[in-house]
Amino acid sequence: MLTRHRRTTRSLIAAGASVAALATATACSDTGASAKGANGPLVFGISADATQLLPWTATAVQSQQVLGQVYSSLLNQDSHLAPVAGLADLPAVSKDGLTYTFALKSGLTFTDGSTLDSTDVKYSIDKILDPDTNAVARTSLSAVKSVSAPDARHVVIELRTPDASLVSALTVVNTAILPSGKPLDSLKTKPVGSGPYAFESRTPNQSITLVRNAGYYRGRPGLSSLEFRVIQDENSMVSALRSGTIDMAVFDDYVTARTAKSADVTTHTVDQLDYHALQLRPDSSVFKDTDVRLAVQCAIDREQVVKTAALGQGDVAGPITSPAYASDPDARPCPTRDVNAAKKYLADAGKPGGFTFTAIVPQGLYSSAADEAQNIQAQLAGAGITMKIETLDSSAYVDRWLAGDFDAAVALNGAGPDPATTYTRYFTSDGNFNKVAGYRSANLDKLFAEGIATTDTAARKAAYQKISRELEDKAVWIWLYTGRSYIATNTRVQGFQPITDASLQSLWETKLV
Amino acid sequence: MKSTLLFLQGHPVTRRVGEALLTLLGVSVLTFALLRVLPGDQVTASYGIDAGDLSKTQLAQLHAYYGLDKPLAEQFLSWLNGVFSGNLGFSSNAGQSVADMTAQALPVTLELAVLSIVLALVIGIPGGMIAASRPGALRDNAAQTASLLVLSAPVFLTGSVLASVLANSFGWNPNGETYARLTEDPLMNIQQMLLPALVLGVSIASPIMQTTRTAILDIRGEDYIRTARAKGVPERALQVRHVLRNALIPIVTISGLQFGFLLGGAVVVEQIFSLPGIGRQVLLGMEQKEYSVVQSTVLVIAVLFVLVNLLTDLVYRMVDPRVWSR
Repeated sequence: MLTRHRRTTRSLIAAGASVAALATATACSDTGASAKGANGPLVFGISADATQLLPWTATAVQSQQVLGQVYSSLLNQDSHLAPVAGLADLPAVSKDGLTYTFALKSGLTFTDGSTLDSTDVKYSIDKILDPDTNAVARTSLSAVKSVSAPDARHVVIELRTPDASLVSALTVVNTAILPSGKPLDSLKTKPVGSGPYAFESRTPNQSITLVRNAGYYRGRPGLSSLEFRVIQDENSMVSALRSGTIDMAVFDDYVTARTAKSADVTTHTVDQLDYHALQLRPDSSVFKDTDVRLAVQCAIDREQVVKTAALGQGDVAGPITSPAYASDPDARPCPTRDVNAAKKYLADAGKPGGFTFTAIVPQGLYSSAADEAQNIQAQLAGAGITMKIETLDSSAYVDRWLAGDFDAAVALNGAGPDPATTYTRYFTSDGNFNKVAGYRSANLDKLFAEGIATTDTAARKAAYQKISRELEDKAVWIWLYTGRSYIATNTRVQGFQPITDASLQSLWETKLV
Repeated sequence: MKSTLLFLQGHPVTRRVGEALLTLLGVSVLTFALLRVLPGDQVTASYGIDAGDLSKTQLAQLHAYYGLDKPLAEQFLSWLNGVFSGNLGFSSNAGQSVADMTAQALPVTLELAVLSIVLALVIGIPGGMIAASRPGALRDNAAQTASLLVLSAPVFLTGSVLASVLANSFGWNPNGETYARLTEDPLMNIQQMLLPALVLGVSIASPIMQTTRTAILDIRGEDYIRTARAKGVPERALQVRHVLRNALIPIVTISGLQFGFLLGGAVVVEQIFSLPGIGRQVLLGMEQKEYSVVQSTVLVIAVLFVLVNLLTDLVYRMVDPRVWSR
């Protein structure tokens, strides 16, 4: 009996020793970057799977990051996000601004070897305009009356009314050119584009692998392959960067980006176009009076919001954030916090004792929302205004926001390089998001029409400055600040140019050394 | 015939199977109802605020595409009918059937669960025996304190800290690599499973240790132990054959219950360590509001839980034949 017991003990000790040895052996084996070749794969960490593989309906950042490498658009953006030649040169525009003629570059092909010509461009724009496609860029191309392909290399777009924002709308992945000969259903699982990298494989919720497109029209892409690897947890993403198992990642959170920094990891800081705002709904009974809204504007120190909620990582901003048309953030009734002015506006509104309202605040959409809400709440209290915070999970928030079911909302809203694309849908009386914005005026309708009636940048800028002034003078919303993004790369990554909005447009030239 | 039916109705196995089926139906109804109560649906999850740019007709088309335009009862019965015919639904985001997704994810979670349970038993039972060997002594206090600390530390914290420290200080981060299946690359697979199994295993070792300690202390006071000792049974044999064997029933019970905790903990641990298991599948389904993914995966988890509990009952009967007669 004792012998059998000792044998069991010895077996247990041996098993324990084996497990320990195995653990040590595995722990000592290499999991870092040394297994990678000089030309790739470059591993790019993304926080969610790119589930939308059809560029026309892709709304998630991760899908757009991946598809931006697989597909090309008619035009590209330069480092200041201004439209430049892409698959086609910049268009020739008729004097009446109604006809845009695009000349495609020669020798264009898709990654399956088929030719890319004007038929594919016409097909793509027609499909984007087809309501059945549910394309997200349909609204920004709504002025398009017809598309024709007079020959293989030329495309003519006729507009119903002049729309200077058209060229900007044709630079994004949501208007990418797809092969007309491929069924859309097949492209939803196996994309075929004309971008720098060709789709090779996808393991859902794990990774997407792309390989070099040797026939890319702008030149030879820098990497033999590019892998987008899904790492949902931010701390795990930082660990993966620091251990060299991934080469690149983009963070929006300053603290996380700072944690990622090390001797082997460089963090590039870039400005965002997206803006943080306290959306007031002038349509609601609480905010229908302009003086009430101005009181809120005057009671908030935007610098303080940046310092507390964004840890100083942002810039106070006005409504328009695109570099070419940026608003002067001080061009408003209260450029700095002025509690006396706030109280005067309250008295003028017949509310000398202040008032109470509720703001919806998202949880899980972006990291600074709760801090922004708390800081604004404290500042408003100083002027006798009580802001109640209603925290909602992201789905509930989006539902309420889309329905315009709120008095005020702490929000981070997307913005593009062209103000028309950013704001027409909010502040024109027939805009899709006018119910959300809760404000409209004949003057704004006229100014937005003026803004797209000409391609002259100076004339457009003048129109958008007037729009900006009306929005600020009427305190339609309280525009707070624009934040920053952080692009972390390890030292092996060479040739990547960090630009505004963390665009990955230079990723095709990037190499690993 | 009638007597056979009566026998089956009263038979413990039939009763347990009936209870299990009712449990599964309850879980299904509850999951279905909870998902519908949550705000948002697959359209808003896919399009976000851009859903506001869709016309009413487009929204109606998308709702019809995802089957959200049907009455709730019809949606549930349609899904249930699919389950009975082996169709667990389809994930448009993954581009796969839920059955295929589950077939890939389930082995990952089962491997994690088995490794974690083994680690928990290897740590918990000897720990409990050591603590019970001298109640109130230093070893007992040390084991109890360690157990309390482990119980107090949530797995998302221990997992994150462990992964960060090893990656930042030693550059070791196998879970940053693409997941390797056991059959394809066993060495990498073991590296990727090591930390998550350790985190989960240690967290459930604590209640196993506590239960072992209490059960051993209870049984030690029994008359038959005193009798065995008086008869001259050697101490080590007494501890293993008489004390530990009789203490196994509560240990088996707690281990079975911990399996449920394991599946819950797997959601968090699989997320932290990027393991493509069934827990992560549920979480992603929730985020993307893919109702059929969540409903079917939760059902699979519930089936597993029920099976483990049935298995636990069987093990009782092996450990203590008297249970058969109850």
